[in-house]
Amino acid sequence: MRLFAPTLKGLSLLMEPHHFFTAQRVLIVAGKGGVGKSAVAGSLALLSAQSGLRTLLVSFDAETIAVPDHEHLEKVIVTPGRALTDYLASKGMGLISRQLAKSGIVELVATTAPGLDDLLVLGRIKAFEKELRADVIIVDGPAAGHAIDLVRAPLQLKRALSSGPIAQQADEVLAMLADGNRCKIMMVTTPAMTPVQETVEAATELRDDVHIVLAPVVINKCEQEVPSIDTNGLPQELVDAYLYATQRATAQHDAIATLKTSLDLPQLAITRHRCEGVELVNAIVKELAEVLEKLS
Amino acid sequence: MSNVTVDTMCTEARVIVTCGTGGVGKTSVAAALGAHAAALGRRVCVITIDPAKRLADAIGLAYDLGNIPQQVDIVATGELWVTMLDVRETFDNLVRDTSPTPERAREVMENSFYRNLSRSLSGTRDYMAAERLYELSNDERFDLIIVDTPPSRNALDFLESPERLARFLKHPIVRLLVAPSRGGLRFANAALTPVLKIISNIVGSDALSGVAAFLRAFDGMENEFARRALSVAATLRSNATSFVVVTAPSPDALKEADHFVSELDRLGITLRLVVANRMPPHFGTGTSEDEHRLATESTGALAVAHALLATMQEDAEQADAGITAFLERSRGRFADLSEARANELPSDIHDMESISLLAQQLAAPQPRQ
Repeated sequence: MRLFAPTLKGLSLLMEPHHFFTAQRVLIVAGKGGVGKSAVAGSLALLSAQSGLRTLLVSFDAETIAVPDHEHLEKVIVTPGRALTDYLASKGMGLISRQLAKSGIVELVATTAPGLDDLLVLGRIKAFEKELRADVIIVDGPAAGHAIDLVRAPLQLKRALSSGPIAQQADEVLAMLADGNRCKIMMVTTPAMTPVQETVEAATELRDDVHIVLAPVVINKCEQEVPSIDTNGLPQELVDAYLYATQRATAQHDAIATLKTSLDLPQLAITRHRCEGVELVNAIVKELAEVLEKLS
Repeated sequence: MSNVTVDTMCTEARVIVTCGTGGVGKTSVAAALGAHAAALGRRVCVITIDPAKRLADAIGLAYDLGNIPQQVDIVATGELWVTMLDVRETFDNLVRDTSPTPERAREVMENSFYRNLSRSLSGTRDYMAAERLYELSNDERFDLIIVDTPPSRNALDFLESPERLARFLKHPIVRLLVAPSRGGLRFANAALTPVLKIISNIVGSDALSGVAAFLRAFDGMENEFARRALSVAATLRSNATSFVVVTAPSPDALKEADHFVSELDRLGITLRLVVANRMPPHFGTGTSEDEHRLATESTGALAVAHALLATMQEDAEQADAGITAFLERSRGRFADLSEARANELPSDIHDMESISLLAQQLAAPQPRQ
């Protein structure tokens, strides 16, 4: 498709993301609270749909960011707390599972095999991938800090349970996670030292333990460059403000440099937008399309 | 002049619980409140669940010391200690403390299900956070415990975890598993046996017999577990405990803060203080509109600086408006709620000095009201 890009100039925006999104079928977007993970995941999904790919956006939380509708975009919510009852229902034990849920015994099962909910959530995603429900599946990882637990769950369960349907499910999920053509994880961070260090730690752990392949890392909420000026003779509050802005810019620059040296991955920098909701998603989509083009 | 609420809380409370979503600087605020209380002469211990490495480094918290509280090197009339929550170690201590004999304790700790349970992160962690609070609030070295809850939506689960555990241990299925299985499950309650079979099919029979062995070894200890849990619950709901919601001014952080406020209300717990952290600072007295006008009226470096300040003031004004609206909503639930605001520092918290700067801001009188 890239062959045609030079002649179909107006379409080139549609071409490059296409290439990026089809590099794997499942893209898990992960990041700590406050980095804007859901906005990034929603924007990726919308951009993928706009580039003509049938896209599925999987969220764990009904209250995630508003993503505009698109003919190629389907959104599903998978609730971790309900994954076990859903699983039982899928095995023809719907009635029993409702009784179990009511009696609190589902808690017993979940306690017996910690991480079971997480595994079953990944199992649902693996099923979407297997049945080719969409060309591209974007997973808006669970809330703050939990993404690592989620992806590690099958490994932990595998160690705890040697046989049975859960162990088999864990094997199948691990196979998907370790295959870069099927699944990658995309870390989202902000350009400050603490989130960058946490991102590096998490990414390294996922790569080494779960053997998951890392997609380019997103640096969200980047501040604009501060123009260089001579502050001699300026009023004090302007000097103070300028000094503060340049210190912030230096800290941002250092954080991005640290990320580059510690994690050998392409970086997708997104500026900080001062809007929210659909407006924010549209702004990020526009920027993503541009940075993805530069990437390829 | 100082922030009366922050001072009173740091002088009088026996327990302070900070909650908030990730990225708002909750752990830094917990450490800063601890530093301030220590400056006021108190012996403080901050429990943090899962601190960022950089922050742990900032307060000199070594990762490999588990549950052992470590004293922070600061100049204060009181003392500041910090500790992490080691779920496994806390659970082990609890088993040792409550088991009738050392043999029973060993039996529990060697059980495969127990090892899995104490390693897993979710429910057990909440329960152990409550247990750890029980231990530390009975530790004579400290007179104030500050609990930094995990950055999760369910951070307040630990308040309810004692009751959940008690309910679980009383469940008929659990009692059935505990009952001595002379004839195996074949003779067990006919109505419940199929349920056990299903569970066994899902998790495998090895796992289920591990659970049964654990529950049998554990049987009888749960009364002491429950007693401690109820004692913690009583402390948390008493006047000796102050709850603090920490937030940043961004819309997504405020949405999560709203969630915490309504959760506390639902649990019947009074929220004393909101910390608005990471506020973009104001410079000078001009509004963003003034600065925009000055930028167009001037030239060269002056114009550039005014334009830069204009966008910074816009951010600061937007942040103020967001926080003010949030406080107004929250005061609908908690009329006596106080606030403390702290500006975002040019670079993120990385040493005790920046934590002291944060403490000074929190303890200062509130400039804008």
